[in-house]
Amino acid sequence: MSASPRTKPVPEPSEISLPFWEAARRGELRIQRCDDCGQRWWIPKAACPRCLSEAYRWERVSGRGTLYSWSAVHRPADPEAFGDEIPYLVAIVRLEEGPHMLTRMTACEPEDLVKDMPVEVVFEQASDEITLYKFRPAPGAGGGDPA
Amino acid sequence: MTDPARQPVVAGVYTTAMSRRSGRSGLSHALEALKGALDDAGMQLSDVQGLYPMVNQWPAGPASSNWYLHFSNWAGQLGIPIRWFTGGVNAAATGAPAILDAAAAIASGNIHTAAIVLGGAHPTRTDGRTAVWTRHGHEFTGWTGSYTAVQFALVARRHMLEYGTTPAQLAAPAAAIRSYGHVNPAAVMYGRGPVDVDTVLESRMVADPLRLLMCAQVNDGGGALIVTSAERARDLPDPAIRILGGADQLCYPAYAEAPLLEHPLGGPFPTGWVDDGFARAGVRREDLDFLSLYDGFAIWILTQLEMLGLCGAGEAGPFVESGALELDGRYPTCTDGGCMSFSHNGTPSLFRPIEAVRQLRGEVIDDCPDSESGVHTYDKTLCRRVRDPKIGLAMSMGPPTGGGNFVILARD
Repeated sequence: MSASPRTKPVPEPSEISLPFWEAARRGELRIQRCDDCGQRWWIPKAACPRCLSEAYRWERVSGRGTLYSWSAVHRPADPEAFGDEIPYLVAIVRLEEGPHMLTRMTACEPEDLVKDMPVEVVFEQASDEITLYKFRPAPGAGGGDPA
Repeated sequence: MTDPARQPVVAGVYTTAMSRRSGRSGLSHALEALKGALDDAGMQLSDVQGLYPMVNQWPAGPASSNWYLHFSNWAGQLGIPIRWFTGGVNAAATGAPAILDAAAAIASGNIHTAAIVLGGAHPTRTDGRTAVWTRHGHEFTGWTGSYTAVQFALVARRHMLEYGTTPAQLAAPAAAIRSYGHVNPAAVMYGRGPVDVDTVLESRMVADPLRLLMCAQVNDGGGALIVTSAERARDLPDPAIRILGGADQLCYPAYAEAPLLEHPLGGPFPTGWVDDGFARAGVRREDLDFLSLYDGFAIWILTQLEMLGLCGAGEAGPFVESGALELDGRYPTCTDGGCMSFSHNGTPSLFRPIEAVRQLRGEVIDDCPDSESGVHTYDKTLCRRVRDPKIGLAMSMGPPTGGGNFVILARD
């Protein structure tokens, strides 16, 4: 990357989301799951969006999912932050466990991507505190070389 | 049943000159628009009891994101007491939701007159960044490089994958709407067309599959709309336009969560809100003569048509490709040129219902030689006037999927 990494936005954890980022730093993808009704959800919330229970756990998920949608971005909102990555792939992944995540696809080209192809999480350190969660084609998915 | 005297109506509308660079503040546009709309309604500032205001910067004093301060600032600036201040702190609220709220407040007898007023200026920056309202520095989306165009590109991609929607079908609404703007002397992009599907598809890629001409442009400008009761509007110079009803729905925090064509907790998005809105308005879908949808991005036109039940799920692509949105089509749509060509000033929600009012009143200026006298050719290379419209539907800014807001307006 040629642009200075300091210009890229780095997430700032909230009181609620902090366990997610701590897990990501350890290479684990965890999302909230309700202790009372079993509902899983993304993005982090203060209570279960199905039964409003405030009793939940940060459950580790498989990191596997399918590609719901994607866009190759040619015109970033902030060229100073993202101009060095054009075109970059913003994507929506449906986790095996249900919830959808807005994320990035990496280790592939736009033409490799097909509807609902299997993908898997890959972690990328952005700062001392923050490790980002991106996805790449799963081995054998037929989309590019995930190695 | 609403007391007929309290039937809410639109009594006046006004828009300022739309331009790329006006050299004026958003407040300046808003104040001109408020005075203009009151004048159009034959009313005075002292008639205004309810206010729904939005400017993209308050030039003096603290920012207006605090609701109480927002309305205090406005009361201070306008020099009138504000007696109903329930909305209008953001760009989405100052469209159909404000009209519905004002209508409810008038129908219930809480107030007799409300003004919705907005203005935006200097929306673009010179450092190569897109307009400020497109950038959402959210914890779970900002790092990906997502912004509004990308969110709608993700919706468009999934629509293509699920339903076989094509790039030409995404381009069709942009071409139709920009071609209306081409013959609207008040549009920022007046004379910059006509625009066909090929021209849209040749414009540069922004966020695949969305190209530049599938996205709204940005500009300076303002507008205002006066809501009052039928009784108070009885003696006014122009025929009042009745507010028949409408509806709102939100399902998830747009731009923070992924925009899906299904509910984040599973299953389809609820659609009953649209049926409820039509039922309250006493209008069937086949009664609509034209649409003033929210066209921030071309895909939004497709998803709004499906959400409103004006075509089936997944059928909007072939529907718009058939010419349905054009002047001789089933639903002439965004006949002023919409956000894409008429005006997107950062807070453009109200421009959609204002255009609906102008069509219903027959106050439509275009390239027809005698349009100022109300004479139109209905030749779409010159004309943007809907033939004898009686009922129109306007949508305003809303979430990318899962909801929105609309109001149905009618002339007697």
